[in-house]
Amino acid sequence: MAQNGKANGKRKAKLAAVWVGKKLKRKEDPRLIQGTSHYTDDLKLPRMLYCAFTRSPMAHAEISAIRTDAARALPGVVGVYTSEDLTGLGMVPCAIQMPGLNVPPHPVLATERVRYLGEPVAAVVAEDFYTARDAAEMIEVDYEPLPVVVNMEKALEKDSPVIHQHFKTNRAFTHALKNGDIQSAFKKADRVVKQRMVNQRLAPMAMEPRAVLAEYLPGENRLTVWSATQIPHLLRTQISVMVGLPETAVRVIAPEVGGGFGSKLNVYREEGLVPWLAMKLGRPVKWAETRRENITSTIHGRDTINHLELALKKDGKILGLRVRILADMGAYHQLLTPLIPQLTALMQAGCYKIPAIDIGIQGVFTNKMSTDAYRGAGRPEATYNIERIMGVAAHELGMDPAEFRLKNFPQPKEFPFTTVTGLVYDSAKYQESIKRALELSGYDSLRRRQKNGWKNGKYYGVGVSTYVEICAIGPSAATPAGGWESGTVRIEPTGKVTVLTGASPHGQGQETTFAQLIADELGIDPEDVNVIHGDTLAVPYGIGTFGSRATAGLPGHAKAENKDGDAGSSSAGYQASRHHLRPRTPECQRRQEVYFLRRTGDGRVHGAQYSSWIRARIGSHTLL
Amino acid sequence: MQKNVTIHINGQAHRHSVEPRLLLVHFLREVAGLTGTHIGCETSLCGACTVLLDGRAVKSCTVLAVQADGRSVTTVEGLAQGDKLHALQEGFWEEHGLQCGFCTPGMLMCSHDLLAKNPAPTSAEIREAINGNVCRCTGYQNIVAAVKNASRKMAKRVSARAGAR
Repeated sequence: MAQNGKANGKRKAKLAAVWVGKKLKRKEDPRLIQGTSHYTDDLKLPRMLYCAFTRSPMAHAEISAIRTDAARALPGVVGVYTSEDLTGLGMVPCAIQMPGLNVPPHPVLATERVRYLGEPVAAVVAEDFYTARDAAEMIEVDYEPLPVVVNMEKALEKDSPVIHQHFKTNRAFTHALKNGDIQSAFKKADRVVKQRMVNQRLAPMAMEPRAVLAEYLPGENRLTVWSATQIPHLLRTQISVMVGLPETAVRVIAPEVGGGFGSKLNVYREEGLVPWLAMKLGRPVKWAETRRENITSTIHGRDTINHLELALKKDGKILGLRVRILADMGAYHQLLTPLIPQLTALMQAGCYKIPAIDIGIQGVFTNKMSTDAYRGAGRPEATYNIERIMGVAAHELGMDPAEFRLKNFPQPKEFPFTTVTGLVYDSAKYQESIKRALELSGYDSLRRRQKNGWKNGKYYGVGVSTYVEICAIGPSAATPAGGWESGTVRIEPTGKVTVLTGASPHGQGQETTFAQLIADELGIDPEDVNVIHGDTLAVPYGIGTFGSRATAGLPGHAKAENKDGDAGSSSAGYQASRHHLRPRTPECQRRQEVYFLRRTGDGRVHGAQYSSWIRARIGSHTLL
Repeated sequence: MQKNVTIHINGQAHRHSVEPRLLLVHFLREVAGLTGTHIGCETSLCGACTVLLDGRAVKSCTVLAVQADGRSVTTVEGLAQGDKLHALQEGFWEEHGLQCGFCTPGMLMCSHDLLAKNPAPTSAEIREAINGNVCRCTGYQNIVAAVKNASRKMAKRVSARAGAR
């Protein structure tokens, strides 16, 4: 605040560099290093009950009987629930709509059949959680085992058992992305290089397992749900649909969240059931996931089999790429399951100029937990595919893999460059980048060392890879399902600043980074900035933290412009995001108390376009 | 069947009647209300629940509360002295040794055990000592730096005290 007396322009120029880029101790750390933070499972409400699940030990089976008497008779048990008890509770949602997509019914507890190991069959509510778990183990379920479908390639064969019988197939969808004349590309090719590649299934494994706590107050008609989630607002919307309350009656709070990696970017069975139980029983109910449940019943990532064919000229010029992807959906669709392989298709061209492409994706049901967004969600899979086929092609052509890549990069003058899959890359100098990387790594000497090693029977591996990723998932032609973000900067009567953000950090440290950005913008100390997130009753509707989006998106969404409309390229926020709006002097329009930063220009979709959709809303105690 | 236990947690006696099967971590979290100790796996694999039992690091998800009867337990809540953070807490804060913070209490307590036995560990010794504690966010580099930072601080304080005498 000391700098307030200085001239405005000078102050701004100077302040821009004060906090951003400075090494600060994180604002969130004192509570985390002293054990005084509150993750969902740390919360305890008066009269709270504990929930536990009986889950299927089989991947595919008919349920012929469920005996709950012994569990019900256990002292301390308040209720035992199976699928038929859940009147008024909706299905687990899938947010993806696409033509021809088979969306199987996804009930909260299994009905008639179980389709993956870990699928919940019954739920128990008890006065303490040892009793809840005892009772869950006392429930006896008779299963008639069915043939199990685990292999995607076999799942599509005619004689394969079918997981969702009414579809008469294990195919969830087919999706094509084509551009250019692929047939003539392969006809003109001197050489075609083929490779089958597997992106193996994996488990996200946040250190904090999931947990849900719900309380319903009938007088206020207010359902409050604490959940270990990356997306409190999206969850609020879906919970309201599942339990049948107006969205305005549902409050979701993501308290301290112990990592997500995409696994908490979802809406799970327990996030519908625990609130439903709290409403039904008139008492708060908590469920905390065990690690075993986390591995079997929280989403998995990847699991695709890919066939790539690259059409090439003798000199190494790429003519076309054909890709066939089998993507394992698991047994049901979670929130974004069918979308993930489509992101692979979108990024499949990587950093390269490929004249023609033909991508075909088939989504396949198997008797496994659903796949969904995990670290990069479809995009690292694309990079593995393209980079591996580039490596195989260079080897087969007898070319150096770096040289081969250099040959197929778009030239700097071609930017903004539209890839064959329709993405616009705003700017890049790939040639310079790879040359610098080769120089820094001492590539030539590594190759010499490798050759000399061979002479002495020693093997050194030298790998080359390039990478470009679509991040932040903002509104653009490329990501029509993408999200804007909300933010409010409120200057309180005492001069302290409250920042409300729709982002929902769970380890990213955004309480600190956002405070740095706002401190520079307003000329105050980050200590005076309090960043509030994760509470849908406090924060305007937001999208959440995932896909490297929150800090990159903030520069727009929680930043106040000064009254001259000078909010452009000098802003610390834009520097932090490493994106610049174009043109660099955006026009600010005042509309009531809301300032929109508007992009003018050529109407093209730029990588940073999401920034221009943001707004900075100034509260009633405005400094402007 | 219930059993009476007295467990001294962070210098305070907690007397309760508990089931013999009650895990120490559940005693800490549910009975004593100290939720700084986290449960990451319940199978001794992740180390999030690490506490000190008579000064030695144990994974409290595989110790029964009755085994801790009459003994002393230190949890993350007991590391700081009032407003004064422990050197390990300062180290983790200064070196960005945490992100989501869920594994942090276990990392702190495990490192505490290490520094008590070996006040000036090498990077390799730190990695060896924390190999039963899993962190999903940091990649461990900054955790190693944090423990070294604490080790340096503690050495300085020891020599300052020696100088004062």
